[in-house]
Amino acid sequence: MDEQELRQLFRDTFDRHLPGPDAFRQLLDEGEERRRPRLGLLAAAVAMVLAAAAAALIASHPRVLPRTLPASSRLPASSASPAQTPPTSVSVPPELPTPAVASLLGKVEVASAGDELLRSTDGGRSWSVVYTGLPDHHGNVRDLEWVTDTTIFAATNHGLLVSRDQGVRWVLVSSRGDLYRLDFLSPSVGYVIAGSSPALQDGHVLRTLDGGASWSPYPVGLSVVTWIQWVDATHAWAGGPGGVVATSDTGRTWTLQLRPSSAADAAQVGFTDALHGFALFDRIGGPPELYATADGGQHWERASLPSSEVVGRFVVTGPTALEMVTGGTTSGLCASQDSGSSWSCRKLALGPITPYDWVASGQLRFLVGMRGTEVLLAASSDAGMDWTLRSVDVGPWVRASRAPGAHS
Amino acid sequence: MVAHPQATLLERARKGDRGAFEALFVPLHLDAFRLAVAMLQRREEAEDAVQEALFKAWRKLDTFRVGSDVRPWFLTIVANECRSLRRTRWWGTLRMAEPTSKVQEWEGATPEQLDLRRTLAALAPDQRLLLVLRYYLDLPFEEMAQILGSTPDGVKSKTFRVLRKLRVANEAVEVTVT
Repeated sequence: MDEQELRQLFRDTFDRHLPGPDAFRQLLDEGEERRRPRLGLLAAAVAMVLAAAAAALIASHPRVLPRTLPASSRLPASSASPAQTPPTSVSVPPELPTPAVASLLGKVEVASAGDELLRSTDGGRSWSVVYTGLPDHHGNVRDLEWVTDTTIFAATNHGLLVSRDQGVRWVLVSSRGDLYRLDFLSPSVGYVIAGSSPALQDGHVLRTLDGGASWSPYPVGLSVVTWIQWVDATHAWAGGPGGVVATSDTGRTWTLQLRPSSAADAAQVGFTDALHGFALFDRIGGPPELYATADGGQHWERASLPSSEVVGRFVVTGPTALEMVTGGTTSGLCASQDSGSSWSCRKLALGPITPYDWVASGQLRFLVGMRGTEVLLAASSDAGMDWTLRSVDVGPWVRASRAPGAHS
Repeated sequence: MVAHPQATLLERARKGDRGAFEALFVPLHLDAFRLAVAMLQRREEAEDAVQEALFKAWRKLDTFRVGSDVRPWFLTIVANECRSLRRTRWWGTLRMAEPTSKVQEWEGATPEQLDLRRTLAALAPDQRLLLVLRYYLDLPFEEMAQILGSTPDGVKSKTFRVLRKLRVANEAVEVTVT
């Protein structure tokens, strides 16, 4: 094949998938509202001042106990008196909601909708609003992590929140808005993946020794890091497009253990102990690569994926067990008990939903996703056979993020 | 129709003239879509990337140097959006949506077309970008260099290196440079 034939092959391959010129004009039309920032910014600024003033009034009132909603209700986000009101002086660019969920051994669950935090103590049948988020609906929770039986952290775009009473009351411990993925070893010592944007093209590790109040860079030998996990105070793994690195000496030295077979775009690592774990590399436009190890990463075996179609992140459920949410013909929840050698999949009976985060604990599954302008909170007590579904309206967050000048 | 010099269009577009903005960017729609579709291999995501690029182009119009060529400037933004879009989505979601449409999208493709698609997917984004710009958008090395922030000679040698890699990876798309 010569260069001219390659050009023809490109056209034959991709031209039939091109949108037409009308599509381009349609994109221009759809962007028209976004391209009117001056008036919009003025209106947004006025609205923000009014909202801040209103919120300050609300904040000056005594705290109201969290409300517990009946199982049949739909949660109207921010419509009732919340447990706590966050700082009103914070001003951050709005973010589209990326719902997150964290479970404390099935006893207490905390989930996010925008930057509103909800708590359940009955297996997801009912949820209480425990933190309302910023009054302008610009906030977004990016990650939640239980550290002890009482302490849970939340990384948001307006700072790091912590609750020391099982998620009932929340306080802001740091105003850093660049924290994306948490990995705390204790209420004091923690690591985080930070970056300048959700794409984490400059993802890097920071460490705190004072419960998140201050952070300092923590190099692990990768130029870009998208994931870090400490299984104990000695052993940790970190992953990025360049590969997986590990330490077995409390972070003094890091060794490259694994590289993707071809260029990767992001990586996830997941370990149950210092020996057993998995690594997933994602590639732009291509299927991810999954690897498993049973010796702490001395040797990594390529594992199969449950579907050749789109595959998301994994959740480790045992030393050789993991689950993934997949698309394609086997769309649904897939589980492997043998380090990815074989998989069994069942359909996710949740209707149309775009999953964002999920946890697995024994037979319990909690999954949060989006449907239009609603966050869906799904809970299952039988490993995903049947689900209890609750929804939270996050229209105000979605509209804020799409408002003129929102991404300035 | 009166032809407007680019500087005039730019000045009007900066003041919010939709017609001038269209006049500058509509002629680039084919290149923009080709770049995004070949990089992302999915039409919906390509449209998202192009729309975001249009929005950013509008926001950055003030930084565009009068007298420069709009095409490489805009395609640089589109390429960055393609990179950013996939990374953001992988990070933010479990990516379960649209499996059916993805399957249907590539129905009827020949083995050579599927080989090309697979081979491109296995390349690093920057390597793939070289091939797409050169062999799909037919850009000269000088313009590719503007997009990639490199020199024409540097881009040329990198492109040929990627072609060699392509040859090793897949005989079906082995390319002889003439």
